[in-house]
Parts: sequence; structure tokens; C-alpha cells
Amino acid sequence: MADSYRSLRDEELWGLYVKNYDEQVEEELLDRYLDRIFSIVKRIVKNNNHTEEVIREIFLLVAQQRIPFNRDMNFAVSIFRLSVDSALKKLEAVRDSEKPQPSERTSSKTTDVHKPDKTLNETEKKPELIEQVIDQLPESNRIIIHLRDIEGFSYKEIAEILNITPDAVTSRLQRSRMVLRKKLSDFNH
Amino acid sequence: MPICKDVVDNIVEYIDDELDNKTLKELESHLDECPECRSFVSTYKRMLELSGNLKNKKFVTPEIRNRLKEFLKSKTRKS
Repeated sequence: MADSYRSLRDEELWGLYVKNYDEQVEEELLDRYLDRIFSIVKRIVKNNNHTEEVIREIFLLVAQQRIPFNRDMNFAVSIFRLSVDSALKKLEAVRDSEKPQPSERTSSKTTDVHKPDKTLNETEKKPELIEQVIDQLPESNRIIIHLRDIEGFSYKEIAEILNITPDAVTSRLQRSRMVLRKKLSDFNH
Repeated sequence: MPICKDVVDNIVEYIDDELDNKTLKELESHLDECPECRSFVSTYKRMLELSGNLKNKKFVTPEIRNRLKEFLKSKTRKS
């Protein structure tokens, strides 16, 4: 049944969904976006339960037409912009609630971040390694790598999602990839 | 790690075919002569390929999807 909605543009599908919350339309919307949104939110908050909480908020706002949307934006950009903002807020809230007491600070969990660099050769053998390394990067690096190198958004779209200039996208992407590369590999030169 | 600064500075545009002709030619002739930078470009491309493969990874289980659908139903289709 959902096949009949497959040819609709995202914006048309969304318009149809908010009219009467038809279950088939919802299925198609979830087919198109649930995995992608779950993935970017999890990349930021790094916890399944927190991700589910954020996902519920996001899709409720989609249903209520309360996502940042204007004529120049497409639906994908709007929902990703909302997702990044919501996930960052969640991350901040979680960090605030988990701030260590002064006596605990000496045993912070930074050792993972400073593990010896993995080489690309190791990554070839274990493709999941790259994900572990991406997840160790600071969130600004993880987000831009996810949006460009995993999702494949254009620079203009990423600029809209992150509310920065396209030039800032290029330089942030450049820095982030170099941080990732540094973690993945010794240059050995 | 003597990767030449020009290569690092231009790598994003180089990968995306966004370099102007002059810079592209200069960079390519440098790559012909510099094995370190050639190796840098090659592993950089491979890194992007590996990252790109993560697009196919699925996190959402049927249970997660069903919980979301139940939540949306409770909020949007009140009887």
C-alpha cells in the first residue's frame, strides 16, 4: 500500500502526513527517515536510550509541523537541522547531569581518546573500526563527517543544517577529516 | 610526516573536483613527484570510502520502530 506514496517528494509526503496522520503515509516517512535520523542522533548522543528519547521529540515535531522549514529549505535539511540541534541539547543536558564530583575528576574517562592511533591497514581488516574512531572524535568533528562523508549532503545543505557559511563547512570538514586521519593512521614518513 | 601543506590545504576541493585548473595541474604534477603526498591522497580517499560505507548501517530494530509508532499514535490519533 505504501508503494503508492513512494513517488511523492518528501515535502508532499510530509504535507499529506500532517493532514490526517494516515498510518501508510507514516510508514513511508519512517522508511525514508527513521534510520537516517536515528543514525545522526546516535552519532551525537552515543546512547540508544537517549537517542530514542530525542527521536520521539523529533518525529512528534514533524507530525505537529513544528520543524524549522522555509521555502528555500528541503525537508531533509529541515529534519536534520532539528535533529542536530535536539541531539546537541540532549548531549549537553546529559553531560550536565553526569558532571563528576570534584573527588571523581582524576578518574575521568579520557583514556579511550588517547589510545594509540589505529592504522588504515587495521581498518581494512575491521571496517567497524572506523566507526569506533569517528565516535571518539569531538562532536563538531563527528557531526560534519557524518553529514558529508556518511550522509552525502552538499556543502550548501550542511551550511543550512549547521547554520554556518559554506566556507566554514569546508574548513571544518578539512580539520575534522585530518583529526580522523590522524587517529586512524600514523603517516609513517 | 612531510605531507606538503598545499596538498593538505587543497585536499577537500581536490577530492570534490572543485579546484581551478591551474591549482589542479600544479597539485597533480606535485603528486607525480612526491610519493608521500601520493600515499596521503590514496589513504585519504580510502578513509572516505570506509566512512561512506557506514551509510548502509542500520541501527533501528523493529522494536524501536514499533515503540516510536505507538508513541506517535498516542499523540496524534487520540480517540
